[in-house]
Amino acid sequence: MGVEKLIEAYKAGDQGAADQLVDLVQDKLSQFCIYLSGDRHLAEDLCHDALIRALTSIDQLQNADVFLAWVKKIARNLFLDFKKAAAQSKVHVTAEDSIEVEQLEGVSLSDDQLDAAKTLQKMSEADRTLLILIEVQGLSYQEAAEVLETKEGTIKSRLSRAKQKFVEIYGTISQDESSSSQAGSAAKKSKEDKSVS
Amino acid sequence: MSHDDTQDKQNDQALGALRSLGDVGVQPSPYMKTRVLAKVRAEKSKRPSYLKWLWPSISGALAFALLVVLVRPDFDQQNPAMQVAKYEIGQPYMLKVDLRTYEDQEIAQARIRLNDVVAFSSKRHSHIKQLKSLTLQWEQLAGKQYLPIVIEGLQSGDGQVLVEFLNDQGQVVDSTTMDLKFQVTGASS
Repeated sequence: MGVEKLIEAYKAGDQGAADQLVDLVQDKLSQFCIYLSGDRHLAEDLCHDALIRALTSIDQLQNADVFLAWVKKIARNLFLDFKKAAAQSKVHVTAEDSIEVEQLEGVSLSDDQLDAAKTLQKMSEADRTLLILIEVQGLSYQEAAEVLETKEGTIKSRLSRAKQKFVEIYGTISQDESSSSQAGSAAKKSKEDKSVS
Repeated sequence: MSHDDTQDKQNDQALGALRSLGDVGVQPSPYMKTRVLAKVRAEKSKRPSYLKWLWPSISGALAFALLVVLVRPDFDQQNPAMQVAKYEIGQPYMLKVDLRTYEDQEIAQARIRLNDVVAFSSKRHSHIKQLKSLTLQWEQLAGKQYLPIVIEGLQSGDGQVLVEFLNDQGQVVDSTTMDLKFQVTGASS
């Protein structure tokens, strides 16, 4: 059954349709939230709340074709609300204050992917969201424009700059990683040499 | 290799790494769908009319009436510290987890998880109400005898507060669970 039919069925009271709608979006939504927030637990909360908000306000969705993009927009707005509220407080919350991409429990990343995830966290939220949507998740400009509440033309012009920034930061991060790895190896070798002697 | 070629190669490598993030399978929590659907059903079912005026009225003086519950974590997993009592919805309660037992343990973090029935409560930091889990660095708790957790019930039902103590590898070393049954103010047990 297509998304449109599922939404119609859900509106008519079919709980099974709600189940299928969640199945349809939860993987991509989780991926979006985890790269957006850089924190597994915060991402889970964002997904959870976004899905609830989407299903309880489904009447506000005007075009069923953009259902997934619409849920992502809700998740992004929740994330922005969270960031705003947290910025005004001095509470130390791991999910906000010490985001460590290495702590993405249950997500297996290669070294390059880890550097890419770290790079995303160093970027502005707008650029990060844009890259996740288009480069990571393969959304069309139209769908990305729906999530970011902007025009397709703006998306195109911003994407090029965001990619350039990404490449620059990625280069710095992977260079740092490489240097620290070499320093670590050298220190280890020195220690081994000493222990041998 | 020319400078331009090197630059192109670096660009390709960086963007390739970025795009490959899309291939990484990120599995949502296995219970998320269940929790979402249960919450949606609850939201859709009509809230009793008396709650409409009751909720806004829960503030001010009531907020000062804190019930302090002391929980002493027990390393014996077969005999976890657990208490079940009945509490009022919307009323802030402070739970205190005894940290003295952990003074000699190698704990790096304390993670607090709530189920859908309860939320964190703070007048000054209202945003934490949106969170379902909080992780505190152990240094923040250094020298403290208790970990205070202020929560409130969001709806009638069985609230659960799980506190997990993690080592620097992120492994759960110990945990303690607090069960609280929430009910509407004035409802009989």
